Amino acid sequence: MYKKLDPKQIEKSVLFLQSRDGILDIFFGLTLGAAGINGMYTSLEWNIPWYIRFLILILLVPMLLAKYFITTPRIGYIKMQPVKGGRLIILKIFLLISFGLTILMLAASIFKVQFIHGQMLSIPPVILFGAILLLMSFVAWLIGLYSLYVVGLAAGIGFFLDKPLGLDTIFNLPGDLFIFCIPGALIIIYGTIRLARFLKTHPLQNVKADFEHE
Amino acid sequence: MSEDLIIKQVIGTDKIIHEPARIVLLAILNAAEQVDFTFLLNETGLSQGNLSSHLSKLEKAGYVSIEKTFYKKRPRTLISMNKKGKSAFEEYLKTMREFYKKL
Repeated sequence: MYKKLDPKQIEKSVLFLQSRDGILDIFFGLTLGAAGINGMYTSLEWNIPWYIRFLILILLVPMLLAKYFITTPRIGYIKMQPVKGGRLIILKIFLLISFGLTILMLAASIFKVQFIHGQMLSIPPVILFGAILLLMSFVAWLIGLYSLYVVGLAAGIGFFLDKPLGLDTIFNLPGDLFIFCIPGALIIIYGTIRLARFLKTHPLQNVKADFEHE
Repeated sequence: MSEDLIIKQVIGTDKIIHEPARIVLLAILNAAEQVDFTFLLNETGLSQGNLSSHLSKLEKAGYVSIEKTFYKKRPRTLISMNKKGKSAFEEYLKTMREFYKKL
């Protein structure tokens, strides 16, 4: 039951019900991790066919399947009002842009599109960290999806581990490991904990329950 | 609004709405266009019988519509708030907000 009888809070909670399962966080983490592994292919000069590196695209499939088989049966059916669904539209646009940028960076890295690749490498990590953290925090505040704060923070931490702290030089490891893989792993762990909690609080036993007229 | 008037309005407030479980139900239905019984069960944590009882009261008052359908060969009950329910709920929230401001 809701702890606070605040209709506004209840509305926000209902709007982002779908994000409680942690699957979106796991998806973000996997995307970051895949981008990191892809970067490491280049740094370590591993000879992997280019189409294998596009396997990141199939991450969408398990996410959608997880939503269909895990989340929807447990949450039940909900149809949002068009006006109140405005925040969901912002989230969808944000996800689309994030995924699109990831694909762009991936393609630029694989096919060594120098203009884009060069532009990416020339941005100081601290600026990138600040930009990512600000963007994620702004979107989290705007639409009330608070797990995006965690995603932004984890992604930003990666940049600090790499350049300012210089761990890539100290341990002689590719920078992509720190910038992408470690934050990706942190976000996956966070998403998994949320998923476990969700499975515990939303058992399947309620699926067969139905309304009985008095 | 005068304090006397606010107090009178609070005392005379809609008793169908003024019950914790039903406030939560209406708040959820105010946010969504339509939900099913399973959704409300999960969100409120009420038992099946308790939830059915509250929904029956809201339906009798004309605040919600309850529709029994089938989805993938399973019965599914869809619930939505009516215009009467929306205006009653808005009126209730307005009264209570005025009252709490004075406390």
